[in-house]
Amino acid sequence: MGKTAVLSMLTGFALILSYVEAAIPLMPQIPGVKLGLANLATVLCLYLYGRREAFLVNMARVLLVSVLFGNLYTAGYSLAGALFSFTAMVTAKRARCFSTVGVSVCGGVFHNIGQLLVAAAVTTTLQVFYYLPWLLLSGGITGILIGILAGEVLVHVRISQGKGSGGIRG
Amino acid sequence: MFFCDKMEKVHMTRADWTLIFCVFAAAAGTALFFLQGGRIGQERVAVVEQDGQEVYRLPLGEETAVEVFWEDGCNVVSVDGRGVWISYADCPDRICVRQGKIFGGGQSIVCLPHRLVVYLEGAAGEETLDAMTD
Repeated sequence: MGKTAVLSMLTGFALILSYVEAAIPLMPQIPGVKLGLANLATVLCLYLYGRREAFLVNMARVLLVSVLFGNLYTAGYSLAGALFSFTAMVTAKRARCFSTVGVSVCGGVFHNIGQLLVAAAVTTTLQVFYYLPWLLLSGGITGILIGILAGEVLVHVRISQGKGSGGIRG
Repeated sequence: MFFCDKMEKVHMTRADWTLIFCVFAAAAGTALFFLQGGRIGQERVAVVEQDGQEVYRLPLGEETAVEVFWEDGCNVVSVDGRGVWISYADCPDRICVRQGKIFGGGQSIVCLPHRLVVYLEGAAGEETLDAMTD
């Protein structure tokens, strides 16, 4: 299958996950804070293709989700979260000591931290950081689950591509 | 799992476990800090004014009360961690007592007979967030 086709499918997958998680409000007080299911598509893309492709899919997702389900206001939050989490995941992956679980936990946690920082800047109150423990916990848990899921998917994709299952790390 | 013989587990590394431990430890640590009464940002203060003069500034936190006298009358202003209210007044109508607790967001309590005004000062996170999402 062509690369463009797979990337489009991953973007579509991310859109579906974004739609599902938009239906599960986690913190109604802070717009844009959510479970982070869509990170699965980003992690997969990061491992299957690389930074550049994952960045494109990520940006396409943020843009489309904002147009379809949100508004300009939530777009800012999503963008901040996406950029934070993407940078953290790329850094974690380059460290070469994490599996998909560690990389995805980094992404989940930094997604939430990025959004808290934006919320603090917009409201000019530090009180939003009272949500930090709760957000670290939820980001960590979804991060672990997404990481395990991504790892399993990659094993199967590589088997079906006949490349064996080695090299999930790094 | 159920269809693939070549199933392999995701190999979680030592760094993974360390990272997960750190994240949960940070969550528990910050949660404990806030539960122990740790505060961030600007403290909120209840300001008591009488006849246009500021007579008391009461930081929100421990539940405390002060008596404010005016000629032969008196009000008791109480604060706790969340807001301020007038718990006693010997004025004729006691509108101030019936108003109950205020939590900020531009609210104020007025006792006209005793020329008393009470309001909250300082950043109020919840009010700001509500205003934002509306």
